[in-house]
Amino acid sequence: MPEKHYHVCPRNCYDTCSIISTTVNGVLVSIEGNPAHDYTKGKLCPKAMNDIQKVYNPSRIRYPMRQRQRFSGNWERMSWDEALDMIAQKIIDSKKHDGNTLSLALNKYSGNFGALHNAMEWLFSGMGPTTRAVGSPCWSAGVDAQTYDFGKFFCSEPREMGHAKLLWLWGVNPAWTAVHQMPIIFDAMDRGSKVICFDTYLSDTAARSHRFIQVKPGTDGLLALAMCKVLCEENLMDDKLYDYTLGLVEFIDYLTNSIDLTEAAEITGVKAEIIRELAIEYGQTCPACIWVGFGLQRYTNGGQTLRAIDALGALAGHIGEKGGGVHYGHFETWKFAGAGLPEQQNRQLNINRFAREALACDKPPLRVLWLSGRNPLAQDADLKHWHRLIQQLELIVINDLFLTKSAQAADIFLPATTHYEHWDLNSSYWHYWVGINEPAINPVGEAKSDLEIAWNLSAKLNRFEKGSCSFPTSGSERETALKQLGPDMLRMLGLNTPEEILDRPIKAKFPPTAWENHEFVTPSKRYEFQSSRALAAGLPALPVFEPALLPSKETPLRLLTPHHSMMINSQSYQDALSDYYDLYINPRLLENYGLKIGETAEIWNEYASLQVKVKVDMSLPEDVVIIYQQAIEQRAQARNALLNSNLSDMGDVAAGGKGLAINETFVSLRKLTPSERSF
Amino acid sequence: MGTMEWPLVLFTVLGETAIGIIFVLWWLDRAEVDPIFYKKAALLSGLLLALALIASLFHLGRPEYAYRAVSHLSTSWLSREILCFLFAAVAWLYFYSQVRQPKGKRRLAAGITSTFGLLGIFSSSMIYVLPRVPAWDSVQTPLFFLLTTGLLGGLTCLVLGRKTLKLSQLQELLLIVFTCVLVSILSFAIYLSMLNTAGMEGMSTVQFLLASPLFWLRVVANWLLPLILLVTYFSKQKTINANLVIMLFIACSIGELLGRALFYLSAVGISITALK
Amino acid sequence: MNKQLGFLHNSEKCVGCRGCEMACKNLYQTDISQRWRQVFQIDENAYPLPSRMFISIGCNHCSEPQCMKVCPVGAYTKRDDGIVIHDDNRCIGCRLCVMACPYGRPQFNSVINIVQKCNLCYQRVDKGEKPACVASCVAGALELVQINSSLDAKTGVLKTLPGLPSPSITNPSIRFVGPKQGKQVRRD
Repeated sequence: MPEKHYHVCPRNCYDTCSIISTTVNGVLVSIEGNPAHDYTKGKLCPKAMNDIQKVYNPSRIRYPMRQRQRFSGNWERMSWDEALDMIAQKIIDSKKHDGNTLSLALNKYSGNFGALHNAMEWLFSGMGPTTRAVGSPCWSAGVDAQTYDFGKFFCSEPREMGHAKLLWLWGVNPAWTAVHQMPIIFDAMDRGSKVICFDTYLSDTAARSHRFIQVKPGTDGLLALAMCKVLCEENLMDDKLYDYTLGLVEFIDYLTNSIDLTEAAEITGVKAEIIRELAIEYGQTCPACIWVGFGLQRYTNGGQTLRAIDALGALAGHIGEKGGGVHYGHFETWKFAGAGLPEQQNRQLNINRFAREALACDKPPLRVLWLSGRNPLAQDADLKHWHRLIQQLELIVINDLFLTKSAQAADIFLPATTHYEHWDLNSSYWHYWVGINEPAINPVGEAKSDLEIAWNLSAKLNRFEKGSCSFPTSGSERETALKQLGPDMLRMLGLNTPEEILDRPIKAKFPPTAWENHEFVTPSKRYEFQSSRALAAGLPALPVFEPALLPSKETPLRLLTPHHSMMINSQSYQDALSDYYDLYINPRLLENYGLKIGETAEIWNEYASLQVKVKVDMSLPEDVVIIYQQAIEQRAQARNALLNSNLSDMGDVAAGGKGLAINETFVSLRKLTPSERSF
Repeated sequence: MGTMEWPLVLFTVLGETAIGIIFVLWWLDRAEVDPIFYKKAALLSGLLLALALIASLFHLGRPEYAYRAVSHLSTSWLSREILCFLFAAVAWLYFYSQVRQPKGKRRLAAGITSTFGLLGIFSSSMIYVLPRVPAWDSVQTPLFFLLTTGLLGGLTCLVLGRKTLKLSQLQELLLIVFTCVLVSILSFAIYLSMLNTAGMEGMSTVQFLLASPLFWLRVVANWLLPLILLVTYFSKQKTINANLVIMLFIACSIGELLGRALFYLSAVGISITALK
Repeated sequence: MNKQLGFLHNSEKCVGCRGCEMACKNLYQTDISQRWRQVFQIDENAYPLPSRMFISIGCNHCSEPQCMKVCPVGAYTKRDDGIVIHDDNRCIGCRLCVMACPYGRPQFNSVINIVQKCNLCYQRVDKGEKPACVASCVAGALELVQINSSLDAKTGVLKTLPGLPSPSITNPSIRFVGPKQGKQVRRD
């Protein structure tokens, strides 16, 4: 008889869909969206709909394995017992050698965003102070910016956007990265709302908007400030601003003295009259909503950009307005109870410069690295540092589903379960829903959940040396998942007992409009144009324009690497993998460099060079080239070899560390002779 | 571009040769024909027909259910083709039984067999007259298949009877061959020029053909060489040289096989054109 | 024929996410080589401005199905509601339908040596449900509709889009709401 189970898609994605699976005789046969979810509405994206292929994929690793020599591909199957013995022994030895546990490092992020995937962190906390990757490669600058402005990082319920009469999609491409937002936007358009898309290239979303405004990369903050200035000049500011904001006079002074529309037009690439027209429309239309994507804060001035856009929203009086606001994301529903372990004095390394900072660690140096939900050799910057770090490390453990690019460097591979094989609890950083994830099938092969691996390793450690790990050695996955709903979360969800979440996913009981009564949680309890916390963090108190890095003569092209609809970072669902990346360029660059469409060319900078196939995008400016996230053969060189770990300006206060200024990667392009081409 | 359909190339070319032989036998039978030649030719035609039918099975995903292929006669030319060929095969058994009898009704039997066979070949060609494939969707397709029948049927009989047939019979056969080659050249020239104006797909077929060395090999083997040999022969009108017959046979067989392979290879169907 | 079910595809709303394609694969767990439904990006040169426009094409359940006409075993039937069904059990894998269909929808499956195609989830349709592709479309760009003259009379409903074969070959049961282009303030 078919059985149904609840799941939540655990990918690092806005939509975090509620899924219902169907199993027959313990085998997954199909999945569908959960119609009871008011955001995902019973519909799933193509990535999720490939899940069954993923779960039973022949190339999924089903047993623990050991690699005799790193990067050799020479893997041997081993038992869990052997694998955990090896790891535990190495941990105990390192601890004995150094007299502490700081040589043990964990680098975990968003391969699976379920709450029980924090089990690896709990395990490490149980061992003592260790070395950890902290922060986020994704959204840090923006998170801090909104924390300075509003007091915390929060945004309206995403369906509220449907009420907007004017909708500005700023550097966000929901058609590819948050597809469930599209029907909300389309419905608003059908009801007569106007949609304007600001981006550096013509995205799928931009192509469907009423108007596409192409902005020079890294100058969005200035564009917002220039529009703020127009609002002042045209007297389109909210007349109650003095009641609920701080530093308005100073901000207006800054705009008056430091922002010049003609200069802004020059720098942003948007004509002054268009800036004026846009600002007036934004100032005069209510409600008007801005949705800011993550890409535009991945610059060295990314935090300021977000602060400038927030300020524009505030100045026009759209903050706290139903159907208005500046949407970015939130993590209010992520307040899981954890494992109740003591806070350790960990050695914290910024996840974006992990290899660089790890190499600088001394007393003790890093000896053991555990990679969980991470694929740094495909996704990180500083790949040369990573390869040096790998040489230094004495043991590399990875737990994952497939032999990823990073698994090639590992000594031990531990097979992980998918969200159809374990209990978990998941929240979204976009909508307000929280849902339980039930196992629908037994683990494939010998795969184990992160929690079970953590218990088993803790048991091993305690057997080798009693008291060496305070994390539990066994338990119930289901109970652990339910326990994540502590009193705070229960109140937020309006539940009496955690068990109620087993019946259906629950939406947090937040008012749908963020900051609706202008009750901000900044130190001044006001919207802060002028932030003392920013000042204390060594930043300007006001949102200001600071230029991002610009291309140089040697590397004249800015390389953007946006998300693709078929990928979540390095997780893909494509059947056929390519041997190479496609590079999209303006047709005139094709002429300038004497290239033909489909020809192999080289891009390079001081960090690496990469051969690519050239394709044309008519909408790209001549100083920007694009390589989308793309599923690529393991043996192919990682595109990220071109990336240096420039950091964004903000991230330390609320996001755990500064973000990665990934969009400040510059390259040069070269035609290759036939003999130089490797494909 | 299409694919190299070896089972279909063999099925059609061998089947057409077989039927061609029987048709030529029926034609020659107006006057006295050497009985040993007749028997040899009749036997060979059966052999080729059997080979052709076996080859056709290799095209199917599930050859074990090939018998079902006759079940959609109302609209499917493929059903009609298979039925006609099956009838032709049965008729051939009757034909051969008559050939073995001294006073058998072999001319009637040959007539019946070649009628079924020619209907089969016509149906076979009509399978490809698809609106989706401009390269096939013309009168050239049935013409091409029927010309192969005449050319290879005639040439096979010429080779078999080169020593025993009367000069007048041989000359008659050479005339059939010459006519087939001439019509083939002329019709193909007209076909190519018309195809080049039949939209993108037709143009790409033409471009593919003109760029393919196989096509130019066919031009030589199927048309140029036979034309030179035959024109030289007809201009001198000497006795028939056995080497001439064998050279013609080899050249034309290669040419026709290539022609058929290219027929499948160069087929470009109308399809969705989009990015990537 | 009094009824003809078919698709209405809104190319303005279709974002090319391939959700329809994958919903089909999820439901039928088809072989990797099979794409009963496929999303195509329309060639940019068809429009005055750079574009990102898509078409989602499954079997068009044509009024004059070429596949059905050429099939020697009668594996294809057209139901009273217009759905063209391919009976896998009857198919002998001659692939003539593959040659005959301008949309490339009947596809030879070399694992089981027969041709397969979209049957418009007729089992679901018979229960009053939507086909998987339509049900899954997040953007609401794909609908199951009756193809008739009143649909064709609506403004904005098109019979074809750039890049598609002429509808005269098979008279496909698909209609389109054509893409619109907004203003583009570009730097190039």
